[in-house]
Amino acid sequence: MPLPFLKFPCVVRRKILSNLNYCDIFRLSMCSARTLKSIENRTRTPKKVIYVCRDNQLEVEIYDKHDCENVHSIISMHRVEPSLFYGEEIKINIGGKSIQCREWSDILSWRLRKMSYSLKYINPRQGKVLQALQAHINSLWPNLPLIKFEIDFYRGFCPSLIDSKVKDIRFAFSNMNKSMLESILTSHSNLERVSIAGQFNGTLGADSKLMRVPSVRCNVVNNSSLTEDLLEHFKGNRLTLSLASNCQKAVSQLIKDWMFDAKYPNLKTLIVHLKIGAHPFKNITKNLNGVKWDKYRWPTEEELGTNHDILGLFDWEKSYDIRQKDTGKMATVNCKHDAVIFFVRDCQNQ
Amino acid sequence: MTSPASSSEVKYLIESSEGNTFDVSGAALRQSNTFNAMFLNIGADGPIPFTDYNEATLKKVFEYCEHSVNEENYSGPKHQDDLSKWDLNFFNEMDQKMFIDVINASNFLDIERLTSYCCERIARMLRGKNTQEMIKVITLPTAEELEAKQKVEEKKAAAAKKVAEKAAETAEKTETLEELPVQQLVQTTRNKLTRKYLSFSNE
Repeated sequence: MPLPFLKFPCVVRRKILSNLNYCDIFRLSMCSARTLKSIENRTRTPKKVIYVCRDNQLEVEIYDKHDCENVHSIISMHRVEPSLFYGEEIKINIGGKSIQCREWSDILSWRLRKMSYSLKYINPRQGKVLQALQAHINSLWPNLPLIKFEIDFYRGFCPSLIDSKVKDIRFAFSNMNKSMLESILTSHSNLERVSIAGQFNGTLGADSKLMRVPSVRCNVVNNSSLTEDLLEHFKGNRLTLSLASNCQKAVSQLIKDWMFDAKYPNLKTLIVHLKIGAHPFKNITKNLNGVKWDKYRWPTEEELGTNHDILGLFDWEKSYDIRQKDTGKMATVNCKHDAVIFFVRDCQNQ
Repeated sequence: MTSPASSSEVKYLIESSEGNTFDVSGAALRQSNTFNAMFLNIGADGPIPFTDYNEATLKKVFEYCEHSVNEENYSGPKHQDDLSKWDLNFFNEMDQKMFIDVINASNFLDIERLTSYCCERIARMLRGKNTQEMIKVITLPTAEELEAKQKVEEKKAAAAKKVAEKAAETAEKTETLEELPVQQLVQTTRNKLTRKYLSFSNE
């Protein structure tokens, strides 16, 4: 005799759900529209949801609220050719839409090294499934604190498909240009973090919306004009540049401008990594009248805006504390041959 | 029958849906928060009616309560693997129908420990399954059932609408009935006054 899950009292349903992990809850919510309705907003909310959009594949990852290391890949949807659409046909409910799918045996998520529940479909438009998935997750966990998108391809991808609640986007495809970036930043003005992991073509200019995003991470890959643009015009809090080349002058100018002209009032962290073989950084801290770091005040994760792993990359004995001329704000600079880290001390919280 | 005393030897009579009564010790009954809220302080003068549940279900629930009287205080749900042999036997003896009745009764009586174990057991049935397997475990209403339910709801709505319309009609009628005597009264007084005036003017 099957269990009448929907007929159980609300308290019982809630207790059952509290014993299930996010993957089980998600699979249960796909049973029918009524099941989704009965469990929406009745489970613990995850800390973060990441949509990974690849060409013909959508994957959703969930980060646990209490244990950030505990990541689940809750579903992986593959768009396939009709010739590959074999197996037992099933109808699943995603975001109030009934989608015809076929199950694939659970596939190993290459990012998480975990098994992921995989379905295949032959819908000609991937965007339809993406929108349904977003609607489903938003109704299941309406108060999600952080939604992130990772876009690994651009062909046919429409920025309007991305939910307006998204705060963090990572672009991981090559040949990105200013118009693509600006169109996404215009339609999603609430973005708090943008990461450009693929190659960016062209320049940005001072008027770019990227300059006002609070946290930017960019693989500048030999694009020195992009590096200089970002270092000169960035108005956000945290800037991380990777694979940079020959930017000694621009970095030291930024630090001097911060110190003597009180420019970059919002800047909290600047991290620049050079690519292998690039012209190494010489002593940037030389003419700054810095005081040798006192070894006691380690930077907090809050100050760095990144995880503490980065601390191991620098020899902190060689750090210097500098003071902003007019305001008295303190910052720490550490320079090694292939990287520079500059962060403003959060004196109020110390 | 019983007094509000909290001695474990006090017995309470419980009445099931069949009208049968049976004894349950006070200590066992006190595991039910519903009982504690309703009867613990004031006591019960007769059998306590739990008439939504049959005798077999109630006996099963209180069998669990009797057993767990001597266990240490409940501290959150235990994992199914940590259950004692007696607990496992208790759950394995039940068929699915009885299990569902026990969950509902234990939820009504608010016996936290039993409800938690039952819910953990259901979660175990669902854990690790894909959507199709889950659909087999839980009963989902079929399209016909949903249609029938919708029809019933539509009928109910139509009936409610009719009742509301009738009520509105009767209200209107009463309003006119109430208005009539007043108008009549006004008319008669008016007639009287004109008659008096005429007689006075004739004089």
